[in-house]
Amino acid sequence: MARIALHYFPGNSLLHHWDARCKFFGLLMMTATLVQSNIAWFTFDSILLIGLLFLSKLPLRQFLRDFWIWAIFLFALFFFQAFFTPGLRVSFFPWLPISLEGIYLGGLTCWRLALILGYAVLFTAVTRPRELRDTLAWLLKPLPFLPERRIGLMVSLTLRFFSIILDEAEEVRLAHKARLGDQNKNPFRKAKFLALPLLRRSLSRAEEVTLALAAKGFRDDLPIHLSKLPFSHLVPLFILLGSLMIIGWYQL
Amino acid sequence: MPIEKLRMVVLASLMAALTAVGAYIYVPLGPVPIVLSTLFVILSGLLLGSRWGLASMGLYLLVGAIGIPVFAGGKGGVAHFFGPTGGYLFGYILASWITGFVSERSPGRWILDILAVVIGSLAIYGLGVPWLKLVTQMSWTKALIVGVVPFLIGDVLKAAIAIVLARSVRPILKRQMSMSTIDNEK
Repeated sequence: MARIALHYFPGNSLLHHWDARCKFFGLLMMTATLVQSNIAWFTFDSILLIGLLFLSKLPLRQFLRDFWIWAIFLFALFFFQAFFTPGLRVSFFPWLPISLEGIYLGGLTCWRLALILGYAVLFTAVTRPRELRDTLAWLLKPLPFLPERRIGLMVSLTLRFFSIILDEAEEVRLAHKARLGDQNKNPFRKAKFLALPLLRRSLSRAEEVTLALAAKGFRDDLPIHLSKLPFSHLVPLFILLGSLMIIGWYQL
Repeated sequence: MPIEKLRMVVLASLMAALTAVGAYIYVPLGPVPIVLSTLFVILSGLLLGSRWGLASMGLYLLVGAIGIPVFAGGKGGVAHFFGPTGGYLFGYILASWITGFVSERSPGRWILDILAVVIGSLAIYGLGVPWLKLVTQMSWTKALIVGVVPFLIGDVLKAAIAIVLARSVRPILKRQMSMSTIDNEK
Protein backbone atom coordinates (compact mmCIF):
# COMPACT_ATOMS: atom_id res chain seq x y z
CA MET A 1 0.00 0.00 0.00
CA ALA A 2 1.33 3.41 -0.91
CA ARG A 3 2.66 5.59 1.88
CA ILE A 4 0.89 8.91 2.34
CA ALA A 5 3.13 10.45 5.04
CA LEU A 6 5.32 13.23 3.60
CA HIS A 7 3.00 13.52 0.58
CA TYR A 8 0.54 16.28 -0.22
CA PHE A 9 -3.00 15.30 0.72
CA PRO A 10 -5.68 17.41 -1.03
CA GLY A 11 -8.16 19.04 1.28
CA ASN A 12 -10.29 22.09 1.93
CA SER A 13 -9.16 23.11 5.41
CA LEU A 14 -7.89 26.44 6.71
CA LEU A 15 -4.37 25.00 6.77
CA HIS A 16 -4.62 23.95 3.11
CA HIS A 17 -5.64 27.49 2.16
CA TRP A 18 -3.06 29.23 4.36
CA ASP A 19 -0.30 30.83 2.27
CA ALA A 20 2.64 28.42 1.85
CA ARG A 21 5.14 31.15 2.79
CA CYS A 22 3.43 31.62 6.16
CA LYS A 23 3.29 27.83 6.69
CA PHE A 24 6.97 27.62 5.90
CA PHE A 25 7.90 30.31 8.44
CA GLY A 26 5.60 28.64 10.96
CA LEU A 27 7.45 25.34 10.43
CA LEU A 28 10.79 27.08 10.92
CA MET A 29 9.58 28.61 14.19
CA MET A 30 8.31 25.29 15.48
CA THR A 31 11.51 23.40 14.65
CA ALA A 32 13.48 26.17 16.38
CA THR A 33 11.53 25.51 19.60
CA LEU A 34 12.55 21.85 19.45
CA VAL A 35 16.25 22.56 19.74
CA GLN A 36 16.33 22.39 23.55
CA SER A 37 14.98 19.44 25.49
CA ASN A 38 12.45 21.44 27.47
CA ILE A 39 9.19 19.96 28.71
CA ALA A 40 7.32 23.32 28.59
CA TRP A 41 8.18 23.83 24.90
CA PHE A 42 7.41 20.22 24.05
CA THR A 43 4.02 20.43 25.78
CA PHE A 44 3.12 23.62 23.90
CA ASP A 45 4.32 22.12 20.60
CA SER A 46 2.34 18.92 21.20
CA ILE A 47 -0.91 20.73 22.04
CA LEU A 48 -0.49 22.97 18.99
CA LEU A 49 0.28 19.99 16.74
CA ILE A 50 -2.83 18.12 17.89
CA GLY A 51 -4.92 21.26 17.33
CA LEU A 52 -3.45 21.78 13.86
CA LEU A 53 -3.98 18.12 12.93
CA PHE A 54 -7.68 18.44 13.70
CA LEU A 55 -7.81 21.79 11.88
CA SER A 56 -6.22 20.22 8.80
CA LYS A 57 -9.12 17.70 8.47
CA LEU A 58 -6.62 15.05 7.31
CA PRO A 59 -7.55 11.35 7.54
CA LEU A 60 -5.51 10.86 10.71
CA ARG A 61 -6.06 7.08 10.83
CA GLN A 62 -4.40 6.67 7.46
CA PHE A 63 -1.49 8.83 8.57
CA LEU A 64 -1.12 6.92 11.83
CA ARG A 65 -0.92 3.66 9.86
CA ASP A 66 2.21 5.04 8.17
CA PHE A 67 3.72 5.87 11.52
CA TRP A 68 4.34 2.27 12.57
CA ILE A 69 7.84 2.13 11.04
CA TRP A 70 8.75 5.36 12.79
CA ALA A 71 7.15 4.09 16.00
CA ILE A 72 9.39 1.00 15.93
CA PHE A 73 12.35 3.23 15.31
CA LEU A 74 11.42 5.54 18.21
CA PHE A 75 10.94 2.56 20.56
CA ALA A 76 14.35 1.18 19.56
CA LEU A 77 15.91 4.57 20.24
CA PHE A 78 14.16 4.82 23.62
CA PHE A 79 15.37 1.40 24.75
CA PHE A 80 18.89 2.09 23.52
CA GLN A 81 19.05 5.28 25.61
CA ALA A 82 17.36 3.66 28.62
CA PHE A 83 19.85 0.78 28.63
CA PHE A 84 23.06 2.61 27.81
CA THR A 85 22.71 5.87 29.78
CA PRO A 86 24.53 5.55 33.12
CA GLY A 87 22.60 6.50 36.26
CA LEU A 88 20.41 5.23 39.09
CA ARG A 89 18.63 1.91 38.54
CA VAL A 90 14.81 1.89 38.60
CA SER A 91 13.81 0.90 42.18
CA PHE A 92 10.75 -1.13 41.07
CA PHE A 93 12.79 -3.32 38.74
CA PRO A 94 16.35 -3.44 40.15
CA TRP A 95 17.11 -6.52 38.03
CA LEU A 96 16.58 -4.50 34.82
CA PRO A 97 19.78 -2.76 33.59
CA ILE A 98 17.98 0.51 32.80
CA SER A 99 18.54 3.87 34.47
CA LEU A 100 16.10 6.62 35.47
CA GLU A 101 18.24 9.15 33.61
CA GLY A 102 18.11 6.90 30.53
CA ILE A 103 14.32 6.69 30.66
CA TYR A 104 14.06 10.47 31.04
CA LEU A 105 16.54 11.21 28.23
CA GLY A 106 15.08 8.52 25.97
CA GLY A 107 11.57 9.83 26.57
CA LEU A 108 12.56 13.42 25.73
CA THR A 109 14.49 12.35 22.61
CA CYS A 110 11.56 10.30 21.31
CA TRP A 111 9.10 13.08 22.14
CA ARG A 112 11.20 15.60 20.23
CA LEU A 113 11.62 13.30 17.21
CA ALA A 114 7.90 12.51 17.15
CA LEU A 115 7.17 16.27 17.14
CA ILE A 116 9.66 16.94 14.32
CA LEU A 117 8.11 14.11 12.30
CA GLY A 118 4.58 15.28 13.12
CA TYR A 119 5.20 18.86 12.00
CA ALA A 120 7.05 17.73 8.84
CA VAL A 121 4.23 15.32 7.91
CA LEU A 122 1.59 17.98 8.58
CA PHE A 123 3.47 20.61 6.56
CA THR A 124 3.95 18.35 3.53
CA ALA A 125 0.36 17.07 3.74
CA VAL A 126 -1.17 20.56 3.53
CA THR A 127 1.33 22.18 1.14
CA ARG A 128 1.34 21.35 -2.58
CA PRO A 129 4.82 20.49 -3.93
CA ARG A 130 4.41 23.37 -6.41
CA GLU A 131 3.70 25.80 -3.53
CA LEU A 132 6.76 24.57 -1.65
CA ARG A 133 8.88 24.92 -4.79
CA ASP A 134 7.63 28.49 -5.38
CA THR A 135 8.08 29.42 -1.71
CA LEU A 136 11.70 28.28 -1.75
CA ALA A 137 12.30 30.06 -5.04
CA TRP A 138 10.75 33.22 -3.52
CA LEU A 139 12.99 32.93 -0.43
CA LEU A 140 16.15 32.28 -2.44
CA LYS A 141 15.46 34.97 -5.06
CA PRO A 142 17.32 37.77 -3.20
CA LEU A 143 20.47 35.62 -3.05
CA PRO A 144 22.69 36.21 -6.08
CA PHE A 145 24.02 33.42 -8.38
CA LEU A 146 21.50 30.85 -7.13
CA PRO A 147 19.10 29.16 -9.59
CA GLU A 148 16.13 29.53 -7.26
CA ARG A 149 13.54 27.76 -9.45
CA ARG A 150 15.84 24.79 -9.97
CA ILE A 151 16.57 24.53 -6.24
CA GLY A 152 12.86 24.73 -5.47
CA LEU A 153 12.21 21.89 -7.94
CA MET A 154 15.03 19.81 -6.47
CA VAL A 155 13.68 20.18 -2.92
CA SER A 156 10.19 19.08 -3.98
CA LEU A 157 11.69 16.16 -5.96
CA THR A 158 13.78 15.10 -2.95
CA LEU A 159 10.68 14.92 -0.77
CA ARG A 160 8.85 12.94 -3.44
CA PHE A 161 11.75 10.51 -3.88
CA PHE A 162 12.14 10.11 -0.11
CA SER A 163 8.69 8.61 0.13
CA ILE A 164 9.05 6.55 -3.08
CA ILE A 165 12.35 5.05 -1.87
CA LEU A 166 10.78 4.00 1.45
CA ASP A 167 7.99 2.22 -0.45
CA GLU A 168 10.38 0.55 -2.85
CA ALA A 169 12.75 -0.48 -0.04
CA GLU A 170 9.84 -2.27 1.63
CA GLU A 171 8.93 -4.05 -1.63
CA VAL A 172 12.55 -5.12 -2.24
CA ARG A 173 12.89 -6.30 1.37
CA LEU A 174 9.75 -8.42 1.13
CA ALA A 175 10.85 -9.90 -2.21
CA HIS A 176 14.26 -10.66 -0.68
CA LYS A 177 12.64 -12.27 2.35
CA ALA A 178 10.33 -14.37 0.15
CA ARG A 179 13.46 -15.90 -1.39
CA LEU A 180 14.90 -16.56 2.12
CA GLY A 181 17.56 -13.94 1.42
CA ASP A 182 17.29 -12.64 4.99
CA GLN A 183 19.04 -15.83 6.20
CA ASN A 184 22.30 -14.59 4.71
CA LYS A 185 24.29 -12.31 7.07
CA ASN A 186 27.10 -11.37 4.66
CA PRO A 187 26.88 -7.53 4.24
CA PHE A 188 28.23 -7.61 0.67
CA ARG A 189 25.65 -10.18 -0.44
CA LYS A 190 22.95 -8.15 1.36
CA ALA A 191 24.13 -5.01 -0.45
CA LYS A 192 24.01 -6.89 -3.74
CA PHE A 193 20.51 -8.28 -3.22
CA LEU A 194 18.92 -5.35 -1.36
CA ALA A 195 20.71 -2.09 -2.19
CA LEU A 196 21.39 -2.85 -5.84
CA PRO A 197 17.76 -3.58 -6.84
CA LEU A 198 16.66 -0.56 -4.81
CA LEU A 199 19.19 1.67 -6.53
CA ARG A 200 18.29 0.31 -9.97
CA ARG A 201 14.57 0.83 -9.41
CA SER A 202 15.22 4.33 -8.05
CA LEU A 203 17.29 5.17 -11.12
CA SER A 204 14.57 4.02 -13.47
CA ARG A 205 12.05 6.12 -11.48
CA ALA A 206 14.43 9.08 -11.79
CA GLU A 207 14.59 8.54 -15.57
CA GLU A 208 10.79 8.53 -15.78
CA VAL A 209 10.68 11.83 -13.86
CA THR A 210 13.38 13.30 -16.12
CA LEU A 211 11.44 12.38 -19.25
CA ALA A 212 8.20 13.73 -17.77
CA LEU A 213 9.85 17.05 -16.90
CA ALA A 214 11.47 17.25 -20.34
CA ALA A 215 8.11 16.49 -21.98
CA LYS A 216 6.53 19.30 -19.96
CA GLY A 217 9.30 21.61 -21.16
CA PHE A 218 10.58 22.52 -17.70
CA ARG A 219 12.55 25.79 -17.68
CA ASP A 220 14.30 27.34 -14.73
CA ASP A 221 14.65 30.81 -16.22
CA LEU A 222 10.98 31.75 -16.01
CA PRO A 223 9.92 34.36 -13.43
CA ILE A 224 8.00 33.23 -10.34
CA HIS A 225 4.43 34.46 -10.09
CA LEU A 226 3.36 34.58 -6.46
CA SER A 227 0.40 36.61 -5.28
CA LYS A 228 0.85 39.37 -2.71
CA LEU A 229 0.80 38.00 0.81
CA PRO A 230 -2.61 38.94 2.31
CA PHE A 231 -2.47 40.48 5.78
CA SER A 232 -5.08 38.00 7.09
CA HIS A 233 -2.62 35.17 6.39
CA LEU A 234 0.04 36.90 8.47
CA VAL A 235 -2.17 37.16 11.57
CA PRO A 236 -1.82 33.47 12.66
CA LEU A 237 1.92 33.77 12.16
CA PHE A 238 2.07 36.83 14.46
CA ILE A 239 -0.09 35.03 17.05
CA LEU A 240 2.28 32.04 16.93
CA LEU A 241 5.33 34.28 17.23
CA GLY A 242 3.73 36.13 20.16
CA SER A 243 2.89 32.87 21.95
CA LEU A 244 6.43 31.58 21.48
CA MET A 245 7.86 34.85 22.81
CA ILE A 246 5.64 34.69 25.92
CA ILE A 247 6.68 31.09 26.64
CA GLY A 248 10.31 31.99 25.98
CA TRP A 249 10.01 34.94 28.38
CA TYR A 250 8.66 32.71 31.16
CA GLN A 251 11.32 30.10 30.50
CA LEU A 252 14.06 32.71 30.99
CA MET B 1 16.57 23.10 -20.07
CA PRO B 2 18.55 20.38 -21.94
CA ILE B 3 17.58 16.85 -20.95
CA GLU B 4 21.15 16.02 -19.86
CA LYS B 5 21.07 18.84 -17.31
CA LEU B 6 17.54 17.96 -16.28
CA ARG B 7 18.64 14.37 -15.69
CA MET B 8 21.46 15.53 -13.40
CA VAL B 9 18.99 17.75 -11.49
CA VAL B 10 16.72 14.73 -10.93
CA LEU B 11 19.60 12.40 -10.05
CA ALA B 12 21.01 14.90 -7.54
CA SER B 13 17.55 15.02 -5.91
CA LEU B 14 17.44 11.22 -5.87
CA MET B 15 20.83 10.98 -4.17
CA ALA B 16 19.76 13.58 -1.60
CA ALA B 17 16.65 11.48 -0.92
CA LEU B 18 18.71 8.28 -0.61
CA THR B 19 21.02 10.06 1.86
CA ALA B 20 17.94 11.07 3.85
CA VAL B 21 16.66 7.48 3.88
CA GLY B 22 20.13 6.32 4.95
CA ALA B 23 19.93 8.66 7.95
CA TYR B 24 17.10 6.51 9.34
CA ILE B 25 19.32 3.43 9.49
CA TYR B 26 21.38 4.50 12.44
CA VAL B 27 22.89 3.42 15.75
CA PRO B 28 22.86 6.13 18.48
CA LEU B 29 26.39 5.77 19.78
CA GLY B 30 27.38 8.75 21.95
CA PRO B 31 27.21 12.29 20.49
CA VAL B 32 27.90 11.07 16.92
CA PRO B 33 25.64 8.25 15.66
CA ILE B 34 26.60 5.61 13.09
CA VAL B 35 24.50 6.23 9.96
CA LEU B 36 24.14 4.70 6.53
CA SER B 37 23.98 8.17 4.94
CA THR B 38 27.75 8.27 4.43
CA LEU B 39 27.42 5.38 1.95
CA PHE B 40 25.17 7.55 -0.25
CA VAL B 41 27.37 10.63 0.25
CA ILE B 42 30.29 8.72 -1.28
CA LEU B 43 28.04 7.13 -3.89
CA SER B 44 26.72 10.53 -4.99
CA GLY B 45 30.30 11.63 -5.70
CA LEU B 46 31.09 8.41 -7.57
CA LEU B 47 27.94 8.48 -9.71
CA LEU B 48 27.30 12.18 -10.26
CA GLY B 49 30.80 13.61 -10.22
CA SER B 50 32.13 16.56 -8.23
CA ARG B 51 29.71 19.30 -9.33
CA TRP B 52 26.44 17.43 -9.06
CA GLY B 53 27.61 15.43 -6.04
CA LEU B 54 28.21 18.71 -4.24
CA ALA B 55 24.81 20.00 -5.41
CA SER B 56 23.14 16.84 -4.16
CA MET B 57 24.62 17.10 -0.67
CA GLY B 58 23.94 20.85 -0.52
CA LEU B 59 20.35 19.99 -1.35
CA TYR B 60 20.25 17.35 1.41
CA LEU B 61 21.39 19.95 3.96
CA LEU B 62 18.87 22.49 2.63
CA VAL B 63 15.99 20.01 3.00
CA GLY B 64 17.14 19.29 6.57
CA ALA B 65 17.54 23.00 7.30
CA ILE B 66 13.92 23.78 6.43
CA GLY B 67 12.78 21.36 9.12
CA ILE B 68 12.14 18.13 7.21
CA PRO B 69 13.36 15.18 9.35
CA VAL B 70 16.20 13.94 7.13
CA PHE B 71 19.18 14.04 9.49
CA ALA B 72 20.40 11.07 11.57
CA GLY B 73 17.54 9.53 13.52
CA GLY B 74 14.84 11.69 11.95
CA LYS B 75 16.13 15.05 13.14
CA GLY B 76 15.71 18.26 11.19
CA GLY B 77 16.13 22.03 11.46
CA VAL B 78 18.92 24.59 11.16
CA ALA B 79 19.94 24.11 14.80
CA HIS B 80 21.56 20.76 14.00
CA PHE B 81 24.27 22.51 12.02
CA PHE B 82 25.44 24.12 15.25
CA GLY B 83 25.36 20.89 17.28
CA PRO B 84 28.19 18.34 17.72
CA THR B 85 27.40 16.65 14.39
CA GLY B 86 27.26 19.88 12.34
CA GLY B 87 30.82 19.39 11.05
CA TYR B 88 29.97 15.91 9.78
CA LEU B 89 26.98 17.34 7.92
CA PHE B 90 29.11 20.00 6.22
CA GLY B 91 31.70 17.27 5.66
CA TYR B 92 29.14 15.50 3.44
CA ILE B 93 29.39 18.34 0.92
CA LEU B 94 33.18 18.25 0.92
CA ALA B 95 33.28 14.43 0.80
CA SER B 96 30.93 14.20 -2.14
CA TRP B 97 32.85 16.87 -4.06
CA ILE B 98 36.26 15.29 -3.38
CA THR B 99 35.03 11.77 -4.20
CA GLY B 100 33.59 13.01 -7.47
CA PHE B 101 36.66 15.08 -8.27
CA VAL B 102 39.06 12.14 -7.83
CA SER B 103 36.89 9.52 -9.57
CA GLU B 104 36.27 11.86 -12.54
CA ARG B 105 39.99 11.94 -13.36
CA SER B 106 39.77 8.60 -15.06
CA PRO B 107 36.28 7.13 -14.82
CA GLY B 108 35.95 3.39 -14.38
CA ARG B 109 39.40 2.67 -12.96
CA TRP B 110 39.32 0.61 -9.73
CA ILE B 111 42.34 2.30 -8.20
CA LEU B 112 40.90 5.80 -8.63
CA ASP B 113 37.52 4.73 -7.26
CA ILE B 114 39.23 3.28 -4.17
CA LEU B 115 41.36 6.41 -3.75
CA ALA B 116 38.25 8.59 -4.19
CA VAL B 117 36.25 6.83 -1.47
CA VAL B 118 39.20 6.83 0.94
CA ILE B 119 39.81 10.57 0.52
CA GLY B 120 36.05 11.23 0.55
CA SER B 121 35.54 9.31 3.80
CA LEU B 122 38.47 11.14 5.39
CA ALA B 123 37.00 14.48 4.31
CA ILE B 124 33.94 13.84 6.50
CA TYR B 125 36.23 13.42 9.53
CA GLY B 126 38.33 16.38 8.37
CA LEU B 127 35.44 18.71 9.13
CA GLY B 128 33.52 16.60 11.62
CA VAL B 129 36.18 15.97 14.27
CA PRO B 130 37.46 19.57 14.70
CA TRP B 131 33.82 20.74 14.86
CA LEU B 132 32.98 18.08 17.47
CA LYS B 133 35.99 19.15 19.53
CA LEU B 134 35.02 22.82 19.27
CA VAL B 135 31.37 22.33 20.22
CA THR B 136 31.85 19.79 23.01
CA GLN B 137 35.17 21.20 24.32
CA MET B 138 36.68 17.69 24.27
CA SER B 139 40.38 17.02 24.03
CA TRP B 140 41.72 15.94 20.61
CA THR B 141 42.26 12.40 21.90
CA LYS B 142 38.69 12.10 23.17
CA ALA B 143 37.29 13.71 20.01
CA LEU B 144 39.13 11.10 17.93
CA ILE B 145 37.96 8.26 20.18
CA VAL B 146 34.33 9.43 20.07
CA GLY B 147 34.25 10.83 16.53
CA VAL B 148 36.44 8.49 14.48
CA VAL B 149 37.28 5.14 16.10
CA PRO B 150 33.72 3.69 16.34
CA PHE B 151 33.07 4.36 12.65
CA LEU B 152 36.25 3.03 11.04
CA ILE B 153 35.14 -0.58 10.39
CA GLY B 154 31.70 0.56 9.25
CA ASP B 155 33.23 3.16 6.95
CA VAL B 156 35.49 0.59 5.30
CA LEU B 157 32.42 -1.60 4.67
CA LYS B 158 30.36 1.36 3.40
CA ALA B 159 33.19 2.50 1.11
CA ALA B 160 33.53 -1.00 -0.35
CA ILE B 161 29.77 -1.28 -0.87
CA ALA B 162 29.70 2.20 -2.48
CA ILE B 163 32.33 1.11 -5.02
CA VAL B 164 30.47 -2.14 -5.79
CA LEU B 165 27.18 -0.26 -6.22
CA ALA B 166 28.72 2.53 -8.30
CA ARG B 167 30.40 0.08 -10.68
CA SER B 168 27.16 -1.89 -11.08
CA VAL B 169 24.99 1.15 -11.71
CA ARG B 170 27.27 3.24 -13.94
CA PRO B 171 26.43 1.21 -17.10
CA ILE B 172 22.70 1.94 -16.50
CA LEU B 173 23.37 5.67 -16.19
CA LYS B 174 25.59 5.62 -19.29
CA ARG B 175 22.88 3.83 -21.26
CA GLN B 176 20.25 6.37 -20.15
CA MET B 177 22.51 9.24 -21.13
CA SER B 178 23.44 7.77 -24.50
CA MET B 179 19.77 7.07 -25.32
CA SER B 180 18.81 10.70 -24.76
CA THR B 181 21.78 11.80 -26.91
CA ILE B 182 20.57 9.54 -29.75
CA ASP B 183 17.02 10.94 -29.34
CA ASN B 184 18.38 14.50 -29.52
CA GLU B 185 20.35 13.69 -32.67
CA LYS B 186 17.19 12.27 -34.30
